[in-house]
Amino acid sequence: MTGPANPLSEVNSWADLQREAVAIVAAAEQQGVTLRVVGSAGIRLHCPEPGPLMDRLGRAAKDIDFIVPQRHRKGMRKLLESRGYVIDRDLLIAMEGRRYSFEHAENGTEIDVFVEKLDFCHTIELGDRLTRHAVTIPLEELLLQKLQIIEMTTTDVIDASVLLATHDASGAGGDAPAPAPEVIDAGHIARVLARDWGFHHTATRNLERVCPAGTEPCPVDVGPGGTERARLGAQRLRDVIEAEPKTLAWRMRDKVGERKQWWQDVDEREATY
Amino acid sequence: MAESVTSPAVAPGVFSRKASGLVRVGSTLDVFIFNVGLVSVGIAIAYNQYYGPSLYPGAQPWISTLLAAGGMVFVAAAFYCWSVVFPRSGGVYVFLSRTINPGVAFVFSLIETIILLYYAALAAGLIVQVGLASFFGAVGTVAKNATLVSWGVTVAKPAGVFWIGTLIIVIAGALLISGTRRYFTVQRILFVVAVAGLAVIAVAMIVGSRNGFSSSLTSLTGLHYNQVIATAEKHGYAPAGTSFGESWKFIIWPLLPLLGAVQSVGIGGEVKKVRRSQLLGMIGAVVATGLVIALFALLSNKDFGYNFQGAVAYNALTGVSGGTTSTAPWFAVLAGLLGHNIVLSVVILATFAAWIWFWIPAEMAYTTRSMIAWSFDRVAPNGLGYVSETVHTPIVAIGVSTGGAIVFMWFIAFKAVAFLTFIEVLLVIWGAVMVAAVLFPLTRKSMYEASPAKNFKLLGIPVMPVAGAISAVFMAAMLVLLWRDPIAAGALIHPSKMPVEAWVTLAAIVLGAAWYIGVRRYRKRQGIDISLAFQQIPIE
Repeated sequence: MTGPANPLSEVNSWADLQREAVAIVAAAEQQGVTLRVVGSAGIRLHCPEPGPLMDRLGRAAKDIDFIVPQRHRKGMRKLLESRGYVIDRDLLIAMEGRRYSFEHAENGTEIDVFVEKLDFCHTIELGDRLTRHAVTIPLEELLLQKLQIIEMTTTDVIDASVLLATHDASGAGGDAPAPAPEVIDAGHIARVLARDWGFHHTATRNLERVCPAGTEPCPVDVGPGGTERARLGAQRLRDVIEAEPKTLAWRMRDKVGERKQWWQDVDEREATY
Repeated sequence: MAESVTSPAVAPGVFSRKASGLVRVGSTLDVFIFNVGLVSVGIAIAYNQYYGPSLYPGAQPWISTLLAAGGMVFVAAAFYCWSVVFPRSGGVYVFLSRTINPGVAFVFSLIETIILLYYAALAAGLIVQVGLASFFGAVGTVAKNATLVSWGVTVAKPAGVFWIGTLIIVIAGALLISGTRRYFTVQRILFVVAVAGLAVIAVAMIVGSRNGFSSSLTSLTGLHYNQVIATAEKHGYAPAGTSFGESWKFIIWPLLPLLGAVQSVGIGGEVKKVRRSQLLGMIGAVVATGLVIALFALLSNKDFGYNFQGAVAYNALTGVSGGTTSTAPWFAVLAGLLGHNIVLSVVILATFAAWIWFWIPAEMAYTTRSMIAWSFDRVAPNGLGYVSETVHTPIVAIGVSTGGAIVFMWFIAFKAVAFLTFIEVLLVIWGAVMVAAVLFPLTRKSMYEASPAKNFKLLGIPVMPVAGAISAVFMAAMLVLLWRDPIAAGALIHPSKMPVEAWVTLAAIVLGAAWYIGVRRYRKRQGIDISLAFQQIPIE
């Protein structure tokens, strides 16, 4: 353990986790390791707006999730171990380098690290988009990460609602230029979903759950302004997704529909040995 | 990310811990292939048709196979219950250590590991002897190529068996080192090849006839169908009609490969939707392979004739000259003669080699998981569970498994050892797991009540203890048959001359027990109470 000691002796608030997450990303950057925050913590860290809203909704963050490029796995492990995190050997063997989990030896902070892509019910490839934001993955992937879940929990709906309530959705499909950085690029999301019928099916279904089309109220109260913004954003996303030309594979799979399972099974994480 | 995904059909198992969702490597199909591969239809058909009619006249392999499969359904049901109570990798060790006694579990698991590594080596030897030697022999015979025929004889010699067998074991080890995902992918491809090949052979046998086989036999080998039988009879072979009693005695032969149908318990932590995967993987493997093996026994009777199979194998086994083929008349050789076609011969032999191959990496994978489980419980050194940062797999455990199998390969090739009574020891170990399944709801009531197995009932009867009881009785009956049968195994404990297997087992018990006691004390001095690993409590 040659690196700096973990400054946290006890983690008890989101502020602690936030500090730790940002510090880890910065330390990684210094060592030439690319790490970006994903998941709920990523939504909070992406920009200042979501945090207060998530606090108001009682959406606590309990751990930190990162994504790392395949080639930086060794450096990532070295960095986290130097900060007092202990690797989960069980997962190390079970996932064979596709996923890591750590727990801080003193304060119990849990860290999950995904490698190269977010592989759940549907797979989200980051590619060269990984480093577009200094600390987290891009807005579009943060939203897709929530929309890919086959059975959203209440907290997933809150996270997606907060993202839509705090960011406009804009952009067109096809080769149209991307909108400003803090605007959700509907075109990118539409292009991703146009390649994969299963992902499209799950995501559009979830979008309907987060912000239903028409006059039905959204299930999460994100405040008067937020609700309208979320509703507009969701509608914009729906329009662009629908207008995006679909691939041949998408159209073929569409003919099969729900007769065949369209997501991959994701289990609870259990001890492997 | 505790909020993350959960599959709708998945309920937490006894030892699940809530955390980020995980996409596991093995699908239901992978589990099925793993088990079917461990049954190895190729080995089963080869053994059945070679040893059944020749050494157990009157025994019908198809009857024996269906009887064995019937018993194995209960064994699979009991193991299935264990696999949902403990959806973990490590097999027998995990079940016994958490419910009976960790020391006993370690010793049993150590012995099981030794036995399974022996069987991995045995399969590697069979690829050479039954696969490669038969391949050269049959193709050479069909093509009338003396060089190929002589290669068939050469590779079956000790040096050929050892070096080629070792190479096969090393390839299996390298495949496991390259990762479970790649291993499953390779198995899937080979499974398609093996099943397609088997379908081709089945079609060839369905359209084939005994007259056609008889004339091919004469034109390709110079042997005459009736003369082969007459020669065998002259040297003591006694043809017989179908005998249920002999078929019952022969059950232990198809049982050996069918035992593999439940070995996915060893990789339980690596499969998706464990309840569905293990159910279809285990029960499905028993039923599917049982039916396929029985079908080929019937087809063999139709095309080769029961008494001819017995006679030609009898002549080979007793060294009667002029009464058998130049390479041992395994099923693959006879089927090659029936096909009377080089391409078909190649397909047949490649199919059998593929079927036999499945045993090797799968047995090694099982033993590797046991070793890692020991290491994680700190019963074995931490280094045994070391994961390479380059290839991300447990290279030390895989290396130990590979090395162990190579040691057995040497014994098999150069010392011609056939540790047949090892199967008796395996039955005792697995029988203990079955007895534990009966006792589990009583001795670990809270654990059982919290597990999904509690809800498994058939007509109101709890599956786990009942399947465990029937399986225990079945295994005891098989043990008695093996004990009394000097052809298949014979007595493990023999006052006048103890077989090597007995000494190996005894040594493993003594060393394993000493090791466990020593490690427990050593860890205690380090301030580590290893017994805590065995006292996890259910979540619910």
